[in-house]
Amino acid sequence: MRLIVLLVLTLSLAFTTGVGSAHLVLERGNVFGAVTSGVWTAWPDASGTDADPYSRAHFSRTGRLPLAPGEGLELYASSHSGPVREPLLGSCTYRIVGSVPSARLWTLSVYDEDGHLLKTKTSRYGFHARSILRSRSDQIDITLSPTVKPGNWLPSSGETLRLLLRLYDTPVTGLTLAGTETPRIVKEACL
Amino acid sequence: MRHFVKACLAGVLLGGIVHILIILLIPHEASKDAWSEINRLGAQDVFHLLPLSQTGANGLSEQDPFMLQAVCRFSTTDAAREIKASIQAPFWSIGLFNPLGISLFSANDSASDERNLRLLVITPLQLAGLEDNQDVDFSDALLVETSEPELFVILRAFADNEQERELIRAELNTATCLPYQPELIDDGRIR
Repeated sequence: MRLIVLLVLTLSLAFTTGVGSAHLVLERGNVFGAVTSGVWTAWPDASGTDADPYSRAHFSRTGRLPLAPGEGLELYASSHSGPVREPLLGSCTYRIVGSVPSARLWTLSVYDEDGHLLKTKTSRYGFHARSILRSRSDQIDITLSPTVKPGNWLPSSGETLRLLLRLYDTPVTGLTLAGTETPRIVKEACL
Repeated sequence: MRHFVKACLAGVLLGGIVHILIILLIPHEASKDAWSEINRLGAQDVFHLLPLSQTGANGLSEQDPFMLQAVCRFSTTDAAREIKASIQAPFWSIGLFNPLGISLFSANDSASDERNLRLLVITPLQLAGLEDNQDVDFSDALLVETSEPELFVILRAFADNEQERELIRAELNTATCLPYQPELIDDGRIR
């Protein structure tokens, strides 16, 4: 009897710790190989031949196809700047200000937590280097908000959001990203 | 008590093994991964334009809404593969991946002088066979040697406005990924 109890204990512990830890790691995103600059995070090696098993598992579950090294670099943001970092919400207004790292072309787009484009009244999903109105040549100023805003308005909706800044054909690499200036995401107000 | 501690330790240890197994097996078992989505698009050996996915829809997640993307999956077991495209976009890139989403080759338009792209995907055995029989000149092509039996290639092209989108959509629709046919050039060599 005691043997059976111990065996059940061992197996259930193995199951919960094994499955639980795998789930936790994969839900939090690929934890290895991440490089950050401000609120932005990139996984420069996620699609390379030497990608770590966690990145592989993570990407195969999300159904996304990361940019390959020769195409560009993807920067993710899911929280705003400041001492307290909270998730980006579809009910809040944020300003995305600062300079974009150098690249031949950049695009910025917003996604829901499943990685799909937001359904909003307009069909504007983001901005790119050529579509944006600028005050100074190297600075961007975008307002992410569920209500209409003047200037570069990026409509939002839904719950938690994720921003993706893609740098196409960029000299920025995983090694230099940390020392590169990236736009800040400033929380303004919530509905 | 000693047995209890031993059982707990064994459980955690086994849990570690379960964790590693899950992480390693997920890329092979996932059904929501990029490869499954690409298989759902239709036949192999043809380029398919990727639809953008909005909230609630299926499809590859986190796609760049400013890029038109076309994917072709193919196999190199019978013959080498020749990917041809002519794209007038201000920016385009190409990525070659295996079914696990590991990038084997990638480039953008700054890598080729002309707007005409020619990519040869060949196994080492096929290349050796070609070179044994004839003089080859692959100077106008990007050559990728790989033993991966199944692959897919993705073309991404930037479009600024609706008019440009139409044009690039048409160009992507004429892109081909067919078995390689050696072509005789002037001096008796093949290209």
